[in-house]
Amino acid sequence: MGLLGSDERPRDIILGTLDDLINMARSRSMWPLTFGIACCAIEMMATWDPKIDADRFGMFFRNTPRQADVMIVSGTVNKKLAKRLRRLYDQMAEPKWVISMGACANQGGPFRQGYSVVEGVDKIVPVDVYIPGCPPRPEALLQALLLLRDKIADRELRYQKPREIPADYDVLAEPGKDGRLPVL
Amino acid sequence: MNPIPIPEDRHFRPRLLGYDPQKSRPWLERLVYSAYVFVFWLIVIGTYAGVPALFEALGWNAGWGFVLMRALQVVLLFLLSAVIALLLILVLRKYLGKVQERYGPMHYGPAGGIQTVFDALKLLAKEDFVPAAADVLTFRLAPAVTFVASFAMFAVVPFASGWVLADTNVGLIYLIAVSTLSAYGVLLGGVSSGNKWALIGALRAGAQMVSYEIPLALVFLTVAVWAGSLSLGRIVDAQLGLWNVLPLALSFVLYVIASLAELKHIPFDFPEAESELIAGYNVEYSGMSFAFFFLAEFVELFLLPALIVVFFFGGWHGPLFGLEPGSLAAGALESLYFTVKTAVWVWIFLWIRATLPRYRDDQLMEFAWKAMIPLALFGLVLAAYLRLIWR
Amino acid sequence: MSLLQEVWQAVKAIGTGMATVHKRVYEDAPTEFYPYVKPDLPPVSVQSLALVENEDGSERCIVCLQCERACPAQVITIERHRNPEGKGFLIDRFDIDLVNCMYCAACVEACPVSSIVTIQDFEMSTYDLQTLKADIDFLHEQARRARQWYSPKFGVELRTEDGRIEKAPPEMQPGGLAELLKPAEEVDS
Repeated sequence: MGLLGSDERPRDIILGTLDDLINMARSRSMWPLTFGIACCAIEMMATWDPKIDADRFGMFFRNTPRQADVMIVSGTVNKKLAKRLRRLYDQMAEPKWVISMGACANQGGPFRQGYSVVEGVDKIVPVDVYIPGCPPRPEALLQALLLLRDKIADRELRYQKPREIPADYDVLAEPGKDGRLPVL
Repeated sequence: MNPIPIPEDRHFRPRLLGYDPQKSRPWLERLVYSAYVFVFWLIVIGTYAGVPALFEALGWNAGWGFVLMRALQVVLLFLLSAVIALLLILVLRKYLGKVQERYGPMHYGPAGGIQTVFDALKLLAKEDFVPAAADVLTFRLAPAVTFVASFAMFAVVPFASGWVLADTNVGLIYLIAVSTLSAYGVLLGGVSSGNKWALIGALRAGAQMVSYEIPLALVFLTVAVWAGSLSLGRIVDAQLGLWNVLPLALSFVLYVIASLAELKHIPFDFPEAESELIAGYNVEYSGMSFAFFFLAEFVELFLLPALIVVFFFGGWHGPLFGLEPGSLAAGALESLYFTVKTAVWVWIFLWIRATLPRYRDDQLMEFAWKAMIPLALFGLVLAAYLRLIWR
Repeated sequence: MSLLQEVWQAVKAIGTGMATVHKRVYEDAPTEFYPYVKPDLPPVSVQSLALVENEDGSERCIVCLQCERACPAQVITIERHRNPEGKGFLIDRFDIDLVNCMYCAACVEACPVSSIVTIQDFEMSTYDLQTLKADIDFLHEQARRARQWYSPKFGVELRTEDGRIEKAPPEMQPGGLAELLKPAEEVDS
C-alpha cells in the first residue's frame, strides 16, 4: 500500500523517503481487530498474555473495524460467516492486511470437504500471511505478525500483490429484494 | 507466478532488528519519560517566558503584536498537548503492562520510547472514513469540537505565578462552560455517525457528562467561596499557608470522582464501554478524526489532574530556595513543581484505571444524583460556614 | 448494615484492590522474548512433521502406507512401485499437505519404523501457501535440520555432532503413565 493509495513506491527521493517512513510507522503499529472465530482465537488471546506479550511490538486490539489495521481470521469460516467476514473487511479503513490463522482458515483443514465450509479464506479476502497449525502456537502467530511487519517495512515486498485466488462469488452473494444476485 | 521469493529452506523467519532487548531496563524507561517531561517543561518555559520576552525585546507587545504573541503561544500549547498525548499514551501502556505482569511496548525506540510516535504517524496516513449514513458536516466537526473544548481549558490553567494565557477573573465560570462543550463534541460525533452503537454511546456520554457536570460545578463553587475569587491564580495564591485539600477534604474527594466521570475514564467509561458498545461514540471514526478524540482524551487526562493540583494542592507552590519571585528561574522552578504534582495525580488516575471494574449504568446515575450532588451541596455549605468562623 | 458501614467497606475494598494491583508492578514478568529467544518446547510437542533418513542416507520409510490410512484429515499422498532388485517398495511420491494437516500425529503413531516423526520447529508461517505443500525433499530437509525428534516407537532421538542418530538419554525421554498420574502440584513445579 503506497503513500497516497498508489501501487508503487514514488520515484521522487523526498516522497520515496516519506513513503518509507510512513510504512515503517504502519509496520510498527499494527492494531488487530478483536475478531475471534474458533479454537485458534484462544491461541490468539494467548499471544497477548504475559508470556508472549505482542504488545511489546506495539500491537493491541481495537474493537471497531474502522480503527483496526490487521484482521486475524482465526478459525473455520462457514459460508454463513463468509458474508459477515467480507463485510468486516470492507468496513476496515485502508491500509489493511489479513492474516489467515490455522488449517481451517487456510484451506478448510479437516473440514475442507464439508458442505458449509469455505475452503480457504483467501477466496473471500486477500490474505497476506498464512499460519499452518491446528491451532498454531501463540509464537507462530507472533511470527506471522512480525513477517507482516517485515513485509510492510520492505520497500520491495509491500507492493507485491498476493497470489491471485479466484473469488468465491457463490459464498459472498446474497440475493437482493428482486431475487437477483448483486454484482460484487 | 510467485510474487514473493521463497527462501532456500522454505522457512520465512522474522527479521531480528539490530538491538536485542531481552529484559526490562527501568533506568532507560525513566530516562525516556524524563526526556519527554523535559521537552514538556522546555515548551512551558518557552510559551510563558520565552515568547513574551522575545516580543518585548522586539517591541511588539501592543496591538497586533500582542495578538501575534498570543497566537504563537497557542501554537506552542498545541505542541505541548501533542507531547502530553504521546507521553501519556506510552505511560498508560507501559503501566498497564507492568500491572498485568508483562512489559508494554519495548522494542521500538529506547525502551519503546517512540512507539506512540509511530502510532501517531500511522493514524495520520490512515484512511479517514465517512460512512454513507453519516451526517458529513457534523461528523467532521465533532472531533474538532471535542479537541478544541479540551484544549481551550489550557487558557486559564496557571503553570507558575503569572504564567497563564488569560488570568481572567471569571476563570472558573470559563472552565465550567468549556468543559461542558466537550460533551457536545462526543454527543454530536455519536449521533451523526449513523450507527446504533455510536448513538447509545453518545446518549450515555451525554447523560453521564451532564450529570457529573453538576457536582463538578458545585465543587468549583466551593473552591471559589473558600478562596474568595473566581480567578485560578488567586485561588492558588490563597493556598500559600494551607493547601485546600485539608479544609475542603470532602469536596476534594467528590472532585476526583467527578473528574474521573468527566474524563470518561474507568470506572466510568460507559460511553466507550468496549465489552458492551464496541468502541462507543467513536465507533465509526478512523484515522485522524479518531486521533483527535484520542488526543482530546489524553489532554483532559492531563488537565483535570492539573486542576486538582490548582484547586487543592497549592498549584505551583513549593520551596523557592531564595530565588526572587517573578524571575525566570523562579517561574521555571514553580512550573516544575506544578508538573511533578500533576504527574503524581495522573499516575493515581492511571492506577485507578488499572484497578477498578466498570460500574453499572443505573448505578452511575444513582450515584451522581443521590450521593454526589447532596454531598457537594453539603460541602459548599460547610466551606462557607468554615470560612465565616475561620477567616 | 448502616450506610456508614457500607461506605467504609467500599473504601476498604477499593483500597485493598489498589494495593494488590500496585504490588504487581514490582514483580518480574514471565515474558519470553520470542523472536530473540526461541521457546524451550518439550520434546514430544507436535509442531511439524519430518521424514527421517538412516545415517547412511538410505530411506528409512518402507512405504507401507500405514500413515496414509491413519491420517484423519487425508493429507498424505503416497505413490510407490515394487523394488525391481530385492524386497519391498520404493517411493515415487510422498507428499504431506501441511496446510490442511491438523498435527494430530496419528501418522507418527502408525509408522512401524518411526520414519515419519514430529519435530519442534513451529516457525512455519509463510507468505505463500505453496511453501507448505511438502514433498519428500522438504520433509527430508526438515529432518536434516532438526536436532531431535520424537516417535512413540523409538522415543526421542538425537542427531549428534558427527551426524550419527542415537536414542536420547532417559532424562530427555517423555515420562510414561507415571508422570501423568503425578499430583498436579508436582507436575507444575
